[in-house]
Formats: sequence, C-alpha cells, structure tokens
Amino acid sequence: MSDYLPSLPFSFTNEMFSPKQLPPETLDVVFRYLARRELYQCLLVSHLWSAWAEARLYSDITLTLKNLLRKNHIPLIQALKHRKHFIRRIAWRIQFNEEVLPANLLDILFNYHPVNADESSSLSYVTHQRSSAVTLSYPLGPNLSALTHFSYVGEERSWEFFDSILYSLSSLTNLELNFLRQGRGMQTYIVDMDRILTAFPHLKDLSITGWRIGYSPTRGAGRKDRDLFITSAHEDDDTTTVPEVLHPLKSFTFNPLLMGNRGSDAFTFFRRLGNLKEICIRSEKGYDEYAKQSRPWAFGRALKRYCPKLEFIGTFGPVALWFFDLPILPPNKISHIAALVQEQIPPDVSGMSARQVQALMKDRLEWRFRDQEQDELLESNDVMALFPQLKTLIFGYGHALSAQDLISLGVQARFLTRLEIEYMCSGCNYASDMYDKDHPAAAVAVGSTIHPAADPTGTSRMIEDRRLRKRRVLDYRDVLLFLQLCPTLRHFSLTGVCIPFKYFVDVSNSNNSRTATTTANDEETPVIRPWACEGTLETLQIGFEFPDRQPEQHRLVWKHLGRFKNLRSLTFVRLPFSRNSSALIPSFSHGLEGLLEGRGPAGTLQEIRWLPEWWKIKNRRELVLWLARSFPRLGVLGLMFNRTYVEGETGAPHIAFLEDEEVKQCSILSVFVESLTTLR
Amino acid sequence: MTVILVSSDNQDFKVDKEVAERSILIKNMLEDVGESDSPIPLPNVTAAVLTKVIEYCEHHRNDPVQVPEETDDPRKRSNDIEEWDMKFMQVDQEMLFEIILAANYLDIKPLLDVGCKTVANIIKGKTPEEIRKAFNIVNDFTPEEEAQIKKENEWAEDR
Repeated sequence: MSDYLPSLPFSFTNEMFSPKQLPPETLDVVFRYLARRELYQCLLVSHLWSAWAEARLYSDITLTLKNLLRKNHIPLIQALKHRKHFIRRIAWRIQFNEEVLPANLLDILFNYHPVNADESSSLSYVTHQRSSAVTLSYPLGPNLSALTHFSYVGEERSWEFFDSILYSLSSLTNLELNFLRQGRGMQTYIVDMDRILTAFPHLKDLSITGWRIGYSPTRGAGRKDRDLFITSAHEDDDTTTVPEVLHPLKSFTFNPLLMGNRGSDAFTFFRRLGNLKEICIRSEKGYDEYAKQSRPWAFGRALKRYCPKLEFIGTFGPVALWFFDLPILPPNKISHIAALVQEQIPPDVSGMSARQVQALMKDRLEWRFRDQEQDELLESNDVMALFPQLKTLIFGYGHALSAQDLISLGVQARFLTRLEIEYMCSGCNYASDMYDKDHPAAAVAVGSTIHPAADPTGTSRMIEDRRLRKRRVLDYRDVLLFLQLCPTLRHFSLTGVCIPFKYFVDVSNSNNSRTATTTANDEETPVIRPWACEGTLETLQIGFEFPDRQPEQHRLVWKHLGRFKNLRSLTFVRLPFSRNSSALIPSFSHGLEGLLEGRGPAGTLQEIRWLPEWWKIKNRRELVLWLARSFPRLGVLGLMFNRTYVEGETGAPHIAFLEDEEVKQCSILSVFVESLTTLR
Repeated sequence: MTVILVSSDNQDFKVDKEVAERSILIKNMLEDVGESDSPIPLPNVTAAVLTKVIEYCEHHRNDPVQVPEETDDPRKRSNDIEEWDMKFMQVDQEMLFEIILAANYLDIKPLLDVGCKTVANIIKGKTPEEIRKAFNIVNDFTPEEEAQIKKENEWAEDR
C-alpha cells in the first residue's frame, strides 16, 4: 500500500486502535487524496498523523519559480534538506529564461555544486548561461535514491542544463520531459535514446516531447543536427539482432520526428523495447512539416518486429501512422483496377454540359474504385497487421487515421476493445499522399509523372494512387463499416462530429449491393445495419444528426440503440448546428421505447449524458420517471442544454420538473442539466 | 457458483463466487482450497459490515479489475466518487471506519479507496482541532512541538 514507512516516535499496533480510529496504513491512503494545505493541517493533529502526513507531503514536490521566489522559499529548501528521503516525485516547472535558481536547491536535490560558482559573492544563485561551462566539483551521486518520478516542462534551452544532472537520477521509473516552443530558428536537439535506456534501467514510463526534439539511436549525447533527416547511401533492411535482455520500459511518448528517422539504424533502439505496451505520439501545432517526413511503413514494420506486445496506441495532432501494410502493386498487376474504367456505363446526361458530364463520370469512377478497394480490404488477402495485439486506440484532434486502416482494423483486430476518435480527419493532405517509398515497385512511380494535360479526367492518377495503396481520408461510411465489422469493441467514442442519419442506412449511389434496405410491398423500408459489437459494447459516445424532426428516422435510431445488451454508459455528442436539423429526440412519439426492444440495455445502463432535445418535450417529468422505471441501474442522467436553440426561451431553462418530489425521489441518483458551454 | 462467507458473529452469507472474488483475500482462499464447499470464516468482519461489503461488491461485480499502478499515479488518481458510491457511504463514522477496516482486511482496493476518499472529504476544510474532534483524536503535541512543526513546514501552509 505504501512504499515507505515513516519513522514513528513510538510503536503502534493495530490492537491500540478501536474501530473508531483509523489504522496507520490506511492514513496513507487517505492522505493521497489531500492537497498540500490540507496535509499541513494534518501535520498538527497528532504525532501519528504528523508522521504519515509529513511523508506524504514531501513525497510529491512541485517546484515552480513562483514558490521559489516567495519569502518562504528558504524554509521550503531547508525542509527539503532534511526530508530528501521522502521525495518520490518531482515536478520541475522552473523556467530557465528567468534570472535565478537557488544553487543550494540543486545541491540539496542533485548534489550539483559547480566549481566556478562565485564563492565570494553573497548571492547563491546560478544563471542558465553558466550551465554549459560548468565543471562539477565531484561526481554526481544518487542523492535521491528513492526518486521514482521526474517531470519537467520548460523551455528547450534547458536541455543542456539538465544533461549534466538528469542522468544521475538512475532510480527513475517515470521520466517526462516536455520542451516548450521558444522563438524560432532553434536547433533540433537529438536525444540519444540508447543513452537514456542505459542510464535509467528501471524506467517504465518515458515521455520526451516538445519543440524541435529529435531522437537518435547511437549518435552520441548532446549532438545537435541542423539536418535531422540524414539519408544513408545504404538503406538496407535492418539486420540488428534483438538483445537477450530487454529494457523494462512499458510506455513511451514521443513526437513524430522520430517517425522520420532514416538509415538502417533509424529505429534500432526499439530492439531493446520488447516489453513496450503503450506508445503515444504527440504532435505540436505547426508540426505538419515534420509529419510529412514520416515513414509510417518503416516505423510500423520496426515496431512489429521489436515490440510485439504493443497494445495501446494514441496519436494527438498530425501523426501519419499506419496500422497495416498494404503492399504496392507492380504495374503489371493492376488490370482489375484499370478494368473499372472500361466498365463505366454512361449515365443519362441529357441537359448536362460537357464539364458536368465529366465531373459526374469522375465521381462515379471514384465510387467504383472505392468500393473495389473496400471489397479487397474485407477479404484482407494481402493486408498484414503491423500491431496485431492492439487493445486500445485513441486518435486525438487532427489525427491522420486512414479509411483503409480503419476498415482493416474492423476486419482483423482480434483484441481491440477501445476506440476513441476525436473529430474526423482535419485536412491532413500529406497523409493521403503517402506511399511506401522503400518498396521496389514504388520506384516506378517516382520515375513516371502523370502530366495533367495527358490525364484530363484524372483517371490515370486515380489508377496510380490505387496501385501505390495511397491512404484515403476516412469518412462516416468507413466509421460505420468498422462498427459493423468489429466484434470485440467494448468502448467506442466519436466526438466532435454528429453523423448524419443517411449514413446509418448506407444508401449508395452506385450499383453497390450494400444498400441496407428491405423491400416490402414494393416500398423500401430503411433499416440500420447491426453493429458487430452489440453484445460487447459497454460505453458509447456518439452524435446523431437528422434533417428534420420527422419521427421515423429517430425511431430507427432508438431501436438501434436498444440492441446493445451490455451498454452501461451512453453519451450523446452535440455541436451547435443549423436550426433546420435536429439531434436525436427522446420522446415516445419519436420511438424512445425502442431502447427497450430486443435484448436492450435495460439491465445494464447506468449513465446517460448530454441527452439532447429534451426541452422540446412537454412532459419532461414523465420522461425522467419512465427512464427511472425502465432502467433500474440508471444512476446518472445529464440533460444537455443549449440555450440558443430553445424556442421561445429567455433566461433560465425549464427545469422546474427537476424539483418535482417524485423526480427527486426516483431511483436515478443524479439528474442535472449540463450546459453546452461546458461540453468540452 | 456460490460461496458461503461467515461473519465474526457467526452469520452465514451466501454469495455468488464472482461477487465474493472482488475480495482478493477470498479469491486467493478459493484458489487454495479448490472445489471445496466449506464456508469461509471472516473473523474480523461483523455481519452488519459484511452486509455492506457484499452490497458494494454486488453493485460493482462487473467493474474492470483496477490496475494498482494507475491508482498510485497522481495523474490518474481521481478524487471523484460516483453517485452510487457516495450514497453507499452515507453511514455513521463508526460504520465508515469499519468498512475501511474490512476493505483493508479483505483486500478490496476500490472499496478501500472510496472509503478513504470519503474520509479525505471529511478532513478537507477543517483545522487540526476540528479534525481531532471529528475523529476523536487526542492532541499529544506540546506547544513547543506544535510551534516547531509550523515553523519547519510553513511553506506548505502558504496560499
């Protein structure tokens, strides 16, 4: 429970404690949930509480310039001097573009005592300019031998300063370095990954991100390369053997510069990371230039080889990451693609101009290409998973997830249980223009350029893009196809967009046989295709957009939601949109009872958040009571309110029904209104 | 499959095995004894407390198993208590402490965490004297000791 025991002034045994008092070891658990000032109060309660509170208070230290420049910074430093043995975590937030940093603080914490300090001066501070010229008076020792967590957020120029002290902290299990952007034109600092892994043999969680930070296998510490993207004359296959002793690192966070490494040793340090289970790739705003240099094919293959246990991947910002290897087709193996061009059936073009006809033909051809590729992905004949053990995928804002990867995940991912996507892809054109440039068949593409004048319809370009297996930006259809394919999903979240209803019924404008309709009495009755995860899904976050408030479409969606027999949490996503459209309406006239049809979540649903459009319902009280009766485990009901779209509303929303006694006494423990302004 | 738990005051509780195994202590006991139907004695837990513990485990029977590393990491540790748990913990202080002791003994970490969060919420906003009063603690500091502690740790009090 606790990794340390404070030295107590006298012995305590459990027998001394009646049930009216907490046993000592549970005090430590309680104190984990207290802030600094609260722990201070506990110091003064009793000797026993003081011992445990002191240990907890000094276990987690945050150092900011603000608290170091206060009048009481001397007591803080003196207190640290005698309590170093408690320190487990340090969060260093001191900006080195400021003037002062207490030298004795560095001495106390890190045994850092520069010989060229001004001994005669009354000042005891060092400035950052001296960091690069410092000669240490004695070797750095493990002063904080119990320190496990160190995190730094500050300017990038601090790297050299930390280089002289960071590597002494060999006991670390968690290291986080985040270098903030400072000005322009700064050199890229290359982190020697092999040195990091050697210096910190117990590291479990490593995060090195920030502006202009690159990553090197074995190029020596501190080297700065203006040209990060060094190409080797011999980009042979990596023949590095996997070492017998693997580093214990489980989680690694980095920026996409790493994915642009070139040469045969581009990713060889991963050979030591066979225990890696989690990677997060964080891109900064303005990193598009570096994202374009990424080599997702090479990066993915390296991780497939060296890190077979990877089960969690998160990307935030523009990151071009591939999840499947789609081999490039040689030019003599594309007859099936070219045949699509020949098969075009001229549409009825009466009344259309030549340009309009051309645009229509191109659009139809694009659909045929897309459908053909989709059929190939569903058969997954030549698709190889780069991360076959994936359980969790998170795509943050500005992601570059492709349609091909998402569909292939639906087909092949046997262990995927969680998928979160924020926003649909944000115009990352660089990602859709990528192809495996290391593939022999790619060389043909490099040599042959298709001049627009020779390809007025763009057909040749489309064929070439298909041959090169270029990624396509995903859209709503791809997301829904994935949900129809993946049977293991337990948590799904798509935020930042609402899916228009028409995509759920998948009406196609081609000869595609995937139109989800049944015919009865010569009338088409739209249905929503079942999702493969209806038996497993536990949490769902999704938004629906309808063209109007006609009940039939809403009824279909409620009925669809009623298929999820293990659903525990349902959250609706809503963005401000036109008054002409509508979110899902939770009324009986719009098929709300569909939630109880089929096997339904009646016995499992515990939480509904951001329930939309409820203010348009007359009998809101009955809505809440019906939900309470129908879903006995429902404990939380959050009602989304967007004042802008409440017709006739001025001032406070109509929430008087929440004060009704029956509503207050119903089984739903928490019924509340959530304002749209706090949506994110 | 069900198991029988016996409280310290010899009351039997028939519980689904899946629910009982929310307690790591019981889970390990069951693994050790194999297929035996023998009741499991819990000499440190009274019937009243065991009733509450079983109620908690029943409600949370389908929760995923908590990873210890996540709750030890301040970044992933949450001070929030979900609605049902908050209502569950609306008991007198004696029962609250009994639940914590039982959760500690039975090794039910989520219940221990909820209990300790509840105690932490009681502590928040109180002076040392108010904390002593709330938990029936005797002040064993001399005035000199109190002054020393305040002086050495004054940085922590500063707002």
